[in-house]
Amino acid sequence: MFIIQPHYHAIARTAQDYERMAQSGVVAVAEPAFWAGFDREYPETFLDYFKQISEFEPTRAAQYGMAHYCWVAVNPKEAENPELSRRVLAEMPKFFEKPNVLGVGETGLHLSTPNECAIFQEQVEMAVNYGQLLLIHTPHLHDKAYGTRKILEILAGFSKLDPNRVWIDHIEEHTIRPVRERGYWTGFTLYPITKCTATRACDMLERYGTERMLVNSSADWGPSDPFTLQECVLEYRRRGHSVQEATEVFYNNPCRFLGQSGKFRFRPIQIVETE
Amino acid sequence: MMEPKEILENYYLDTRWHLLEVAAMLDRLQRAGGSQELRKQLLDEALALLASETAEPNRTERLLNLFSKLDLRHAKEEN
Repeated sequence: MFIIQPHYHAIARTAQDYERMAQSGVVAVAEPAFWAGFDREYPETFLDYFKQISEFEPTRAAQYGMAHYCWVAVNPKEAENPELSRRVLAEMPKFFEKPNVLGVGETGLHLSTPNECAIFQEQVEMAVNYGQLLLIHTPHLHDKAYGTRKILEILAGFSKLDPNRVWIDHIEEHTIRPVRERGYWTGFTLYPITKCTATRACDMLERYGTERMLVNSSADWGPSDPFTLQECVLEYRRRGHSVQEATEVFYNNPCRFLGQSGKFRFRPIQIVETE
Repeated sequence: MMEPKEILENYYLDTRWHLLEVAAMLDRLQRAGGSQELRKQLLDEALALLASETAEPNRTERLLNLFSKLDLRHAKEEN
């Protein structure tokens, strides 16, 4: 079946991952801007990074027949440097004009410090003002509960924000209900140790329904595996869900959310038997 | 949705494996002299939570909320 990997840090992965994703049915990836593993010192470092993921990464993906889209943002970790962050934010709107940039992401919170909250708020405002989609990172591990509440509190302050254009990612069992109740898109990130698993994601899909749900691997430079997404597809099918039901989650939902950017060329599909 | 027997057939061995890892870790800690620190206390509470039957199948959510107690900065704010 066809799969879309909606959150994937391709810059940190080898070409072999692209090859194997293509072999397993992935037709498109979307790459948010994130922390490189060290704190950048100059705004130009961010801008070169945005250039790399918006110009070079699509050429790598294309070698394996995959479309590549990306997002731009100052990530939550580096938002702790507000002076640097604001210099980057001032340049970000230029990237919204690029044909494969989907919106502002991944912004959000890490330790929920005042600086992080301020820069997150400014990026939400930018997304609203420029009509961009928004992808939000919720904190890891024990920081997640408080950070998610803080994110929802900040988002509630934007009366013009359309929840249908907001994807809150890395959701787990203790953060899912408030996110769903407010109409945001919910993302499950399948990561060893620090985030969700394929079985738990399937449990939540079964408990809460598949509307406005996205599943991703978010593979990056740390211990991670792009194929946790395919693992989840297999687990979902093993539980008796049809190919169409799986397609709804792993292909159609990314089309629905990312398609709102007006740039994502894939559309939801219906599987029909011809004989 | 799978039947109870199917769930046990599909997940029993995997769960057994995870529990053995938990047991091994606790044995390792005990051999090293044990610990009273918060993380160990949370693990003990988590195990008790898992062993308790409740009307609502929300052990995962309750465990995640329990582990959130390690967010000491904000625990003070909320108290």
